[in-house]
Amino acid sequence: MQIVDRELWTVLHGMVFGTIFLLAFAGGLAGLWSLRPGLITLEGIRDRLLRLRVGLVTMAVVAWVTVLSGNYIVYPWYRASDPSSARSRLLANPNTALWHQFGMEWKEHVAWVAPILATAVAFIAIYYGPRLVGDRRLRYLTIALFVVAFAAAAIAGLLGAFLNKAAPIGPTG
Amino acid sequence: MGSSSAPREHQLVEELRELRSKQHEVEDEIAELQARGLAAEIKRNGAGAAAIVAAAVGVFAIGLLTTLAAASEDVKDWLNWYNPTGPLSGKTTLGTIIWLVVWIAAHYALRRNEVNLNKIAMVSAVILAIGLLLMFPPIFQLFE
Repeated sequence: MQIVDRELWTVLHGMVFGTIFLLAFAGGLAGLWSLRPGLITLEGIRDRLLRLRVGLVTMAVVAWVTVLSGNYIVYPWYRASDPSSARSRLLANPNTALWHQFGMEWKEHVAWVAPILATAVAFIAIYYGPRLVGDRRLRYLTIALFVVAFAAAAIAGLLGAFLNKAAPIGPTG
Repeated sequence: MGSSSAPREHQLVEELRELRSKQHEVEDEIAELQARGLAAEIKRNGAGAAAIVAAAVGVFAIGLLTTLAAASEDVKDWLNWYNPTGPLSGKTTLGTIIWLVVWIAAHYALRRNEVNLNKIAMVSAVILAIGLLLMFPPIFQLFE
């Protein structure tokens, strides 16, 4: 069982970093949603806020690592100009060209929505902390931002998985 | 019915005046305590609003740069800041820089203010939606 460096980076980018972000979303959403005055005590607020802040900061960091590793490590292999690159192979066949023209073209841009929005969400949780319990509007806005970040990451992740199936970035492409 | 509700209304108005007066007293007291470093700063929602608007602007910037690169070869070549990654390197780096600059400016401008979050939400939603559209291939490829 051998994994070459390109495959390793593709796995790290998509199945490790990206997956951590997507899986942690549920916990982050539950944490933000549960910051409601009637549901928790003062001790509960302290306890949840610490976990929430750590979780949201971790998600933001992981989102940045995901897009940066994609942009500067995996994507150059994908778009290399030689005929064996994943992009060249997809574009050479009319039946698969749309995977690049739509799939990768969308994925490479929409992915960047996730870290930007996730960073804003983490900032709000750290800066306001307990105030989020009392400020329903701010909390709902934060949740909305968080959901959009997740949706962007999910789209990018799904397209990436399909693209890697259609044209794997293997040892030479 | 009208004659019995008038004194009640008057009583409520008086109570409201009293509460507002107490609120001003409490705020003055808090301000004094803060000046003496004895109370934590009351955080206005302006900083949160700044973070939300700036994030929307960052997404819009990347979307706009994507469409501009599709529309113009010169822009596309100019955005090629790191050749292995191509124009994507310039779009995302410049978009991130714009986001951070706007955030820092908006944070310092709004952090001491209590702003209308409904307006912030609407404005941010529109900016974000346009940005997302501009990075959607069927849209930006119209400009190629």
